[in-house]
Formats: sequence, structure tokens, C-alpha cells
Amino acid sequence: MRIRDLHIEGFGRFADWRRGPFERPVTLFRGDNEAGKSTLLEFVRRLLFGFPDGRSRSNPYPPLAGGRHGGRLNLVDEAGKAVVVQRFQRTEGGLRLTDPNGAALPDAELQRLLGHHSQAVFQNIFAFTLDELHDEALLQDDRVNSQIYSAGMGVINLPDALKTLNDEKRALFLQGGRLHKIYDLAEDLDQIAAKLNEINENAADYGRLSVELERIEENMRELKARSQHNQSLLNKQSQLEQAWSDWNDLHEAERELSSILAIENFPANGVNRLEVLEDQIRAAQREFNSSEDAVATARNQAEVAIEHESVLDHAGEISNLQQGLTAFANDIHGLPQRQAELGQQENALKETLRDLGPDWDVERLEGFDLSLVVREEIARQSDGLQEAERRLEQCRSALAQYQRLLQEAVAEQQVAQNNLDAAPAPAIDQEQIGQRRAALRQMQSWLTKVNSIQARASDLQAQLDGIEMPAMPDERQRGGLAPSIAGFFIGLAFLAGGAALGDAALFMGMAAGITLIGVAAYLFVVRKSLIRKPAESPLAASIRESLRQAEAELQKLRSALAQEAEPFHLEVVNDAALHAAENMLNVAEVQLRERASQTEALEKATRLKEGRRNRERQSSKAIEQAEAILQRSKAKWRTWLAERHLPEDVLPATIGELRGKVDLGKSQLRALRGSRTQIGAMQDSINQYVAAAEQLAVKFGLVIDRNDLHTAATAVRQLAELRIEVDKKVRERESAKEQLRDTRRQLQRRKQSLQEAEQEKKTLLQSGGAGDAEAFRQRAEQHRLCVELEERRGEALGRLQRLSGPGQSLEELKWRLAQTDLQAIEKEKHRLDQESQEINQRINGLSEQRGSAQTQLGQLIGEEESSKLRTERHRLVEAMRGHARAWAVRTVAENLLKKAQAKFERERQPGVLRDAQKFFSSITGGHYRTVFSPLGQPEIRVTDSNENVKRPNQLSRGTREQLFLSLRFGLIRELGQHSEPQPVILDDALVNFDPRRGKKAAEAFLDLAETNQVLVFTCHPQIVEWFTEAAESKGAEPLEIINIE
Amino acid sequence: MSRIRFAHAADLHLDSPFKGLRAAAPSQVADALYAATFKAWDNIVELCIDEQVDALLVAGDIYDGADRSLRAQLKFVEGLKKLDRAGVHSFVCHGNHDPLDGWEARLDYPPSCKRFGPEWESSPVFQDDPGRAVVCGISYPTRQVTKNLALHVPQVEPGPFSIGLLHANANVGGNREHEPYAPCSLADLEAAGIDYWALGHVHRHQVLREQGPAVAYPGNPQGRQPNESGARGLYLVEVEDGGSICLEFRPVDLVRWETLPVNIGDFETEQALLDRLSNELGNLLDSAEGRSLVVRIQLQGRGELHRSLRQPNAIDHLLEKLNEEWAGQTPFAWCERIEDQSTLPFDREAHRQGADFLAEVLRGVDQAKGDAELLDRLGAGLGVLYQHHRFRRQLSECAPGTEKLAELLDEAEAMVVDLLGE
Repeated sequence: MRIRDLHIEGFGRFADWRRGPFERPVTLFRGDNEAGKSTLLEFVRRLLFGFPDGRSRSNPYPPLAGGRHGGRLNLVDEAGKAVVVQRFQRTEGGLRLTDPNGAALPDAELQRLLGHHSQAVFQNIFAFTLDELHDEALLQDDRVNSQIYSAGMGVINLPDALKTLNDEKRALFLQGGRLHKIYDLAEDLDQIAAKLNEINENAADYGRLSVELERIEENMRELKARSQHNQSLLNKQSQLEQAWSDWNDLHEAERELSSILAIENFPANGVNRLEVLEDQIRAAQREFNSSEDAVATARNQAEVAIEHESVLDHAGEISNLQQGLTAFANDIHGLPQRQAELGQQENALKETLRDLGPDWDVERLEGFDLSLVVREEIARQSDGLQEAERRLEQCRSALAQYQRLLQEAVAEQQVAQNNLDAAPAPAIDQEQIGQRRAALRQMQSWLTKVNSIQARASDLQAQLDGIEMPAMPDERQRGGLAPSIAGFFIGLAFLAGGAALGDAALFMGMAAGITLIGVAAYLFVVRKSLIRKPAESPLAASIRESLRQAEAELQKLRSALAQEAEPFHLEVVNDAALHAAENMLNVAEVQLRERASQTEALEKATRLKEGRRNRERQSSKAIEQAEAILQRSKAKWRTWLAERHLPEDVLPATIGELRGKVDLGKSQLRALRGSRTQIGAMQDSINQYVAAAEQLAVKFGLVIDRNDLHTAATAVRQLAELRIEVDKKVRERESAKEQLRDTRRQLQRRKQSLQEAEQEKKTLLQSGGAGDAEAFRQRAEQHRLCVELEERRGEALGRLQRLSGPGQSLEELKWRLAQTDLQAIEKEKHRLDQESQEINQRINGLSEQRGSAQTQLGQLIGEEESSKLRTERHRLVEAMRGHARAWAVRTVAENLLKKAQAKFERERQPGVLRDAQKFFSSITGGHYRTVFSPLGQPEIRVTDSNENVKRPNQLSRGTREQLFLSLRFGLIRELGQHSEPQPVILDDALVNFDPRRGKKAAEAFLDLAETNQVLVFTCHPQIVEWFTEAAESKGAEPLEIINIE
Repeated sequence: MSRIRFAHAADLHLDSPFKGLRAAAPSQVADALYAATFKAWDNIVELCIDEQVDALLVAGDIYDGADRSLRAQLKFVEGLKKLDRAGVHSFVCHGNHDPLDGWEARLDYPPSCKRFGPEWESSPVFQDDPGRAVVCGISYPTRQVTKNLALHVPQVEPGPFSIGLLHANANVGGNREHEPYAPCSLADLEAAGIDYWALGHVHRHQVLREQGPAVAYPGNPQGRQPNESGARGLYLVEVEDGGSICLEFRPVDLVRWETLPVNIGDFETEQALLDRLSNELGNLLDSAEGRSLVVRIQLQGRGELHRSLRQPNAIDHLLEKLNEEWAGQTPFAWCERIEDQSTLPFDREAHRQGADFLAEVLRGVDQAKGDAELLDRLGAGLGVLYQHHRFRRQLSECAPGTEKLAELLDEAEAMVVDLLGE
């Protein structure tokens, strides 16, 4: 992370103060005392970690010059991402993180930028003052210490983990504390234990209560027995009291009975029964009289005489005539109409025959065959004719189409022929082209070899010249080879130039080149023979032999080249000539492919034309065949017509019309014959009906006129009415006879009833000991009085019996009643009542005691709270054990972490200290060599160049500050490997350094600035110089110096 | 010899609370749990009457005397009286939880009930036919009975079918789950000349020997803690004419304990896990023969889901959802706890080979497991809590020894991995 710029709105003496951007690795803020350097350092710290709260003793840096208390920092992380940190006093806005566009960012973004370092780590390691520089608490502060080592261990969240464990442990259990879960549970358990003790003590009362309850129940049983006895006596007195009135009734009834005459065996309910019988006798007499009148009336009706009673003997015949009456009426009305229709049918048939032709009559009409076979034959012949005509038409259409296509094919063939004639014809074929390409490739290969050998020859010649030069002072001789070599190379140049320029230049160049090469070769051979004459060194002889072999090979290749080049008519053989020859082959190949294509197109057009011509011929033959088929079909049709004597001009299409007329004639003939048969049947039916009606009408005086057939229908209706009338009268007479028999039986029954009632009255009077009704009524009254007194006596005795109670004697009761009086009874009863009340009061008292004991026992028996409390106690104990286990797990986890941490502190510490040692040795110019920490002790030691071990407090102030500065460098390097690099800010921390060490320290800061931004606050020009000189001597980027005014 | 039918029950622990619960149960569940031991006793009585047994034998630990539950004793006697009215004899001995010197209410036992005293006694099953069957029994005079009572069984007369009623730890295969009260061996029991040993004390029903003599523990009729899972009941014993013995286990429990282990590695989301758990609870209920269930869920295995589960209240939320669905039903399935034993996907061996801080921690764990002294050092300081005078009574018995420390070490390692992995 880097601080890109800052803006103080209000902080200490600064107001609306902006600086930046700080682009350089090192930025120096220069200012006199009280210019505000420490204020700036504190501003940065507070912007990053917050303002202290009101209880803090630290300087609040109020905005003395105005503005909101706070400001903003623009930060940039290692990846270049920018974050704006804006923080004001909580009352004025607090913290706000945004991106450069003002979009809000989460607070965690600041933690990330700060590498998750705590405020203490930042203040102690990255941004420190002179006072803080030699603070030995640096390595004794747990938070800083843990952060340092955990960063080195690759687990930046170790302090958080330890804190989490500790927090969770404290929530579960804190020794000596009360605000933890296990203590809460113990408190709850104590409460439950107290309640359970209480309930258990109550349970001990169960035995005492049981004994008490038994005693109460025994007393109650005794008192209840006494109460029952008393109640028994009281009941007896009440019995006498209740019986006293009945006792008096009994005496009165017995006295009255003894005073009247007793009538025994009088009929029960006698008077009522007598009156009923007298009413019955009167009613029976009235009914008997009425029945006698009804018998006389019925007899008169049953004996009456009926006229034309014999008509019932002909009921069947009359019924038949009635049923045929409708048909008869229809026949006499329908006959004239049928006769008229017959005439019309005869005329229509005649008309149809005339329409068919003069030689058609009824006989031919009936004989003409119109069966299904004939109809199918007509249809078949008609279809054959139509198919032949359609086929002929199709063939004609196809012929016309093929004639048109043939003309098109002829035109295409002509075009293809013209194209072929116009295409150029190369002199060589494809095979020859292939052979020549192979020859070209071979020549190309040889030509490459020629060039290579020539180069080698030139090189050999040069070597040879170099060897021979001292031994050959004769310049003439030495120069004797030069013209041949020069000519050779000039010739090659001509060949190359000709190839490069092409066409005419090619020819000229090649000719000149070959001539020059030839001349050069001649000169070379002649001169060589002259030169070889003197004795040669072995090296020169070897080179010369190689040169000779090269030339021989060159000659051989050239000869082969010349031979291979003959078919191409090449005057010279070089790359350009070979390329030109290849081009010519390419052109010839293209022409051959074009011509082959045109030839193929012509062959295709010719094949098409021939194909279409064949089709045209086939179509002509098909037309001839179709015409022959049509003629045969027509001849067959004409033969069919002749066999049936039908005119030749009838066509299959018109035969249907003739067939229709014959069908019509045949149906008319069938209808005519049907009508004739129906009219004959109607006339026979009319005659038979009139004869039958006439036979019956005469018997009963009715007349039928044969000339008016409607009179027959009228006579039949009259006969039917007569039959109905006579039938009704006969049924009425039979009914009257039946009624006569019924009224006679009724008369007999009523007479018998009257006699029985009179006999029953007589018997009743006799049973009551009376001769007539009046005497009977007097005796009945006397009997009622006797019965009533007996009932009163019986009732009184019954009530006394009931009062005496089951199992007790009535006589005893009567005896007891006889022994006392009502006043004595009431007195005894009152005494017993008093005594019962006393007993009941005692029972009620005991009952209350028993209820109370039972309630207490019931509560003990039904008590469920202890069950719940025990369950709750188990639950709480279980919960406590669960918490204890959770606490134990965290304790073990904490121990594990601390153990590993201790080990890392021992083993990883040298990494931090090694870096510190490097800086310390450099700053002190090698005076101090090592920095270390004794095992298991949170202390630092140094050794000087004389191997003297010193504690920090044994060092001078300046050296001690240099040691702690070096330690910070080591820590910054270690932390930077695992988290976001932080800016390093120091406030006049180098003032106690001598110039040499000061400059070394400045160099160390410049090294550090390669990874971390460095901001230096100082009021000392010398410090500025140290940094400036250090930058110059290291060749580093110039410093940025900002003056604070 | 004519046929005999009797029921053999033990360890009723009437009115003793369910153990191991940390969460408070909803009212419906709590009511069922309070009533469970009583209902199981009612079921025993009903079963004896329905099956028309000749006698019921109860082999000790009828109630927990230390609880002083009057209700428990009354309910027990009430059941015995009901059996008396139905013509069923009862034989009762007392064990370490309800010894004779313990607190007891003044109660009237029915005449057909035989309670055995502190010395061996014999009592005929049928008063009108003493030669048919006899019960020999003994009760604990006090809680701590450490002598082998089986060695002192009086000589049994030949002829009657003999039943021994004893609360004892028949130390078969080194039974460490229960306290070693009245310890005896199977050979001791065989030598006593008893035909059927009706034992009590061990809470898991088991037949130690089927014949000559038959030796059986019926277990407790109602499971009361997580490790007492599965069906609980009594033995219905039928002695054939020839003396052969047939034992049939009959469940009488109301509520069953189940542990449901689930591997979180199979799920990507909490919803998927919730669905599976819900489904599994339904399956458990289906196979519980109409009983209600108290279920402890153990989330195991490694998976990214662990990251979500360790969020505050995530487990509680899961528990709440499951109980919303299942705890209100009849029969219910109440999840009393979800133990999150899961971890993040973590290649321990690969990390252990590393050079970072975590590797050092892991190596430290491995080292401690093989080094008792180091293990003790890691557990140093635990006594501050476990031996604390205020909490000692509840915690001292579960103070972690070497074995438990190793378990704690594993949990601590998982916690460290979580914390450092964040």
C-alpha cells in the first residue's frame, strides 16, 4: 500500500491542507520545530486506525485552524487499486471508504490494505517517532509479537484465532468470575436442588399423614354407626306420626260398614250396561223396518221385460260389420279415382313406346336386356375407348416436347464444337510434361552442386595462391592465372545478370558468360601447367589435388547439365533458364487441362443430342400403337350395337339415354298392371260387405238400397246402436236381481240382532236380582256405597302396611299405635333429632380432617414437580458438562497453538533477526556483527566485532536506536513477504545518528523503498543531505522534498 | 410337571429422568418423557394380565431411592395390586438403586406379592401347589453390594421348577458398562442348581444362556439415555411340561432413543441436508413400531457444507426446522441434539508434510498421541475447571483422563484447522 496524497480538512494546526501525489519511493517532509511533522504522522495513523475516544489521554489534535476534524487519504494497493479513506471524528461523519469515483467500499477493504495489521503493529513497526524507536516493548508486546511471528509462519490470523479461543473460553468459564455459562448453570442447579430438598422433606410426611388418616377414619366409622342407630329410632317415631291419620281412617270406615245392609254379587257396572242394552234394542228395531222397504223396491226392478233382446244373439256379426265399415267407405270413395289413374298410365306407356321408335312395342320393351352384366359391358367398352383416346393424346404431347429438346441439344453441341476449335493445342502431352519436370529438378540439383563446387574451388585456389606467393616472385607467372579466374567469375556474372534481367538480356548474358567461362577455363589449364613446374610443398600439393578433383567434378556436372538441357533447347543452363523452362511447362499444362475440359463438354453435348433423338423416335412409334388400339375399340363397339339391332351412330356416351327410356317404359308397364289388379279387388270387397249387411238389416226392420251404397253403411251403424241399448237394459235387470238377494239377507240379520239384545237385557235384570229396570237401578246404588267403604278401609290398611316397612308386622304397628298418641310421638321425635345433629357435627369435623389429610396425601402422591426438577437437573448437568467439554477442547486447542507458536518463535526468529542483523551491521559499518535472541527469552542480544555480547541497554543511545531500527527493517521484510507492504513513516528518528551511520541508515531506507513507500519527517537539513547523498551515490531516483510551513 | 408362564422384568427405574438431554423438550415431548417409565410399567402389568401369566418377576432397581419419588413407589404398588386382582403373583427383589435401607414410603403391598429380604429366601409360585415352582430371591440391604451373592444360594429341593431372582452384574466378557455390584460369573450361576436365573442390572436385554440353567437380562423396559437405543421390554417365559424353557422378548417401551449419523460430504446445500435428515427421521419413525423417538443426529465426514454449519445458530436453525416438522406429530420424533463432528475438506497428511504453522500443529497432535507426558501437558489447566470446588460435584466424574484427552485433542485439532483456515 502507498499513500498517494493526503488532504487535511482540520487537524491540529492544519486546515484544508493538501499534499501529493507522492510518486517517488522516498518523500521527505522538511519543516522546523512545531511546523507540524508529528501532527502529520498522527494524522496518518488516525486516518488509518481511528480517533481515540474521549477518555483517552492522548492529544486529540483539535482543528485549531478550523475545518471538520479529520480528512482523507488516497491509498493505492500493490495491484494499483485506489481507495479513498475519509475519516472524521465520529460526531462529524466517522469512517467512509470509497473508490475514486465515490462508490462506497466495505470497511474490510481498509483491513486488507493494512495487511490485517493491528494499530499496535503499525505504530511500532511502520510509523514511529524518535521516542518510539527505542521502545523495548516492541518485542514484549504480545499482540505485536504474535503478529510478527504469525506473519512469518504464514498464518496471519493466529492472533485472531487465539483471541477467538480465549473469548469463547471466557464465555464458558472464567476462573474467579461469575459471568460465564457454567456459573449460571451451577446457580440454576442450586435452585433446583433446594426445591428438590423441600419436596423430599414433604415426602417424609407421607407416613405420618397415613396414620392420622387411619385414626380419623376409625372415629368416623364409630360415629356413623351411632348416627345410624339414632336415625333408626327417629324413623320409627316418624313412622308412627305418618301412620296416625290412616289409623283414624281405618276406624271410621269400619264403623260405617257395620251400619248398612250388604248386597253381595251385584253385576259389575250394572246400570251402565242396562242403559247400553236399551239403546241397542231401539236401534235394531229401526234398522229392521228399513230393510223390509228395500226388499220390496228391488223385487219390482228385477222382473221388467226388454224389446229386441234377440239382437244380442247377432252381436258377433254386427261387430264384424262395424270393423269393416271404414274399409268399405274407403273402397266406395277410392274406386273412381283408381279407375282414372289407370287411364293416365295407359297413355304414358304409349307415349314412351312412340319415343323409342316405330318398331318398339310392349313385347320388345319387356325383351330388351338391361341386366347388370350388360351395363358393365357398356361401361367397359366406354372406358376402353376413352383410355385409347387419352393415350393417343399423351403420345402426341410427348413427341412435341422431345422435338423441342432435340433442337436445344443440337445447338449446345454446336457451341461445344466451336469452343474446342478455338482452344490452343500444345505440342507436348501430359506424360512429356512430367518427364521434363523431373529433368528440371535434376538440373536444379546439379546446378546447386556446380555453384558449391565452384565456390570451393575458388577458396582452394585462394589458399594455394597464399602458399605459393613467397615462392613465386615472378609476378608474371602469378598473374598468369588471374585472367583465367577473373574471366571465369566475369562469365558467371554475365550468366547471373542475364538471368536477373530476363528475355533478351538472358540470351546475351548467357552467351557472354559461357564464352568467358570457356576462355577462362582454357587459360587456367594452360597457366596451371606452367605454374606446376617448380617443386611444391606437401600442403600446396594437397590443395592442388583437391582443386583438381573439384574441377573434374565440375566438368562432369556441366556435361550432364548440357545433355539434360537439350530437350529444352537451352543455350545456357542456369537458375533463370530453368525457371523459364518450368514456366513454359506450366503454361502447356494449363492449356492441356483447358483442351481436355472442352473435349469433355463436346462429348457430353453429343451424348445428350443422341439421347433426345432416340426419345423422339420412341414417341413416334408410341403414337402409331395408340392409334391402332383406338381403331380396334371402335370396331368392337359397332359390333355390339349391331347384335342388339341398335343404330350404328349410337356412341358409348349416348347409349345411356336409350337405356333410360327403356327403363322408364318397363317401370310404366309394371305400374299399369298393378293398378288393374287393385281395382278388381276393391269391387269384390264392396259386393261382399253389402250382402252381409242386408241379411241382418231385414231381421230388425231396416232397409238397404243397392243403388245407394251409403244406405248399407247407415244400416250397419243402426244395428250397432240397437245392440248397445239392449245390452245395457239386460245388465240393469241383472243388477236389480242381485240387490234383491242382498236386502233379503240383511233383513234376516237385523231381526236376529234385535232378538239377541232383548235376551241379554232380561239376563242382566235377573243377575241383579230385579224384575224390571227400575228395581235394578235401586239395588245398584246400595251396592256402590258398600264397595266405597270397603275401599277406604283397604286403603288405610295398605298405607299402614307400607309404613310398617318390609319384614315388619302390621299388627305390631297397629299395636304400637294403639299404645301411644300423637303428642307423645312428637316429643320423642324431637329428642332424637337433637341427638342426631350432635353426631353429624362431629362427623363433619372428622370429615374435614380426613379431607385435609387426603389432600395432603394426594398432593404428595400426585406430585410431578420433582420429576420435572430431576429432569431439569439432569439437563443442566449435561449442559454444564457440554460447556466444560467445549471449554476443555478450546483449552487444548489454545495449548496446541501456543506450543506451535513457541516452537516457531524459536525456529523462525533467525529469519527476522538475520535481516535485522544485515541492516545493523551495514549501518554500524560492520562494528556489530550479529543480532540474536537467547532461546526461550524474549530478549535481544548483539555481538560486536570483538565477539562481545551486549544487551540493548548496554549500547549507546544512538546505537540502540540503530539496533531497533534494524529490527524494524527485519520485521518489515518478514511481514512484507506475507501481506500487503505498508508505507514506512519516521518522524526525526535519525537525529541521534552520527553522520556516517546516518548516511548508512539513509541508504538502508533507500533499499527498503524498493518495496515499501518511505515518508521521512525531519527538521534537520543534515538528514535531508544524508538522504540526498545516499540517493545520488546509489544512483536511485531523486527524492521528493516537501516543505512544511 | 405342568406348564408355567411368567414375565421377567427388571430395572424399571420408575420416575427417573431421561439423561443426556441438554435441550429443553417441547411440552408434548416433555409430558411423554415424564410419563414414559410409568407407561412402560402399565404396559408390563397389562401384558401380564392379557397373557394370563402365573407370575411377574421384577429383578431390582424398580425406582431410584435417592430420588425419593413417592409417585414411583405408589404407582408400582398400584400395578402390583392390579395384578393381584387378576390372580397374577408377583416376586420382587431390590437392587443397588432401591436397596432396603433406602427411603421408602409406608405402603401396603398386595398379599400375592413376595418382596425378598436381605437374605436368600424361597417362595412357592403357587401357594396351593408348592411343589410346582419356587422362586429364590434376595434384595440388596444397601447400595454397595460387592460380594458374589450367587455363591450363597440355598440348596434347592429337587422337583419344583426353580427360579433365581437376583440383581447382579454377571461379568460376561468383562461388562464394564455397569457397576460391578454383586459380581458373579456364568459358572457361579450354573453351579447354584437354579433352572432359570431372572437377573437385573444390565440394561440391554440379552440371554446369556438358553438352557440348564437359562440366564437372562430383560434390560430396562424404557430406554432413558442415548446409549439405550432400540426396543426395550421384558421376557415372557414359558416352561414346557418337559422343563424346556422358551423366552420371548416383548417390547413395552413408549419412547425410543436413536442416533442418526449422516455424512455431510454427500450434500452441497443446507436444504439438501435438511431434506435428507427429515427423510431419515420419517424412516426411523416408520420402523419404530408406533413408538415416539428421541433422536441425536451426528453430522460427520468432510465437506464444504461444514463452512455453513459452523456459522452462528446454523445448527440451531437446522434443529428447529426438523423439530417444527416432526416433534409436534403423534408419535413424535424429537431431535434433542445435533452434534457437528464434520470438518472442512482437508488433506491432513498433505498438510502435515508442509512447513507452515498448521503443519507444526498437526505434527504436535500426532506427537502428543504417542507421548502421554506431552498429552498431559496439553491438557494442563483443565483441572482448574473440573476440580473447581463449585462445579466438582457435577464435573469431576467426567474429568478427561488420558483416553478422553486424546478425543479432546482430535476435536481441538479440528477447531484449530477451522480457525486457521478462515
